[in-house]
Amino acid sequence: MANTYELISSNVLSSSAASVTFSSIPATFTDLVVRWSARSDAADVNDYFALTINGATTGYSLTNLTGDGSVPGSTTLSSTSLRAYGCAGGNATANTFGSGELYIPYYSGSRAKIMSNFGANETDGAAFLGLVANNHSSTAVTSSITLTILTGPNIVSGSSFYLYGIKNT
Amino acid sequence: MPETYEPIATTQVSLSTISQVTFGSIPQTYTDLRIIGVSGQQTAGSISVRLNSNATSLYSNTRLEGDGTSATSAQSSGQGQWRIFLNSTGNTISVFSDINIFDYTNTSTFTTAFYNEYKNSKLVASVCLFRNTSAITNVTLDAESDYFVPGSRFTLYGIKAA
Repeated sequence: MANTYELISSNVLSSSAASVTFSSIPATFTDLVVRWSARSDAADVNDYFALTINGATTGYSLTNLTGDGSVPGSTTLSSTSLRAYGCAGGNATANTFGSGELYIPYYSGSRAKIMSNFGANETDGAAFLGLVANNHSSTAVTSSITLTILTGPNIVSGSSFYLYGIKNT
Repeated sequence: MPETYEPIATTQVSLSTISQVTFGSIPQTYTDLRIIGVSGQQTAGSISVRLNSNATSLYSNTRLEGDGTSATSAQSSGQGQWRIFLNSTGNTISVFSDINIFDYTNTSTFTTAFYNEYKNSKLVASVCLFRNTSAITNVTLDAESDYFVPGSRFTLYGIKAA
């Protein structure tokens, strides 16, 4: 039986980079999952990713749910990109990386895409976690995913990103 | 090597008069279950989730909700179902639900689950309890308002711990 949950591509940074892109994604799976462990060089404890699909800069909207150990919050945003949480900033405790997952169900279907992100950064005294409902109005098949650090300027070496495909048959 | 993460069944709603999706005769050979759904209802409404066709007041849920303006938390107990709370927008497929049911074959413990729901303008994260120790052999999802939008799709996956 073919594997249900397959690694499509991986990117473990050996040097700093402003973004990570998975391109030429095969349309042979049902869902896509991106998982990462990441840290940036931002002058902050937390950082975030701007998420773009197929290089598009329009058609994005999102609602998030966040907590920092003190204040819960929720905001809505329409922008030139989506959001993905799960990245420690340069001021986070040393050797601490944030974790995150992006799930895109039925990415090859011809309808607008709703995708989820859960990301967290816990650094023993400062923390951030967030869930995002990301919406992309484009009906095109998802063939590339780019995560660009929002504050940065860079994602640091040692950060790792993995793209998986899930088949429902 | 046996699969760790396997699709058990997929239902794609093809008719405009389908109000229930059932995953029945669930094999008892996995450890956890996961249901991934992308759905909508023709009239906006929630989805009831029931285990083993049991509709008695054994379900409870605690959730965290964000609507783009504020984050809130709520709790429901003594319910006849779990609930996917997010209503689809109009007659469109616009709700993504991710239901995780843990240790579903264990007959010594109640059944627990957590699930997240996402749509463009709201999201909900829930932890749930079903106060019954029976192994889970079927899961039903009912459109509470009327019918699922054709094209709505739910896939049940089994996850093995060994």
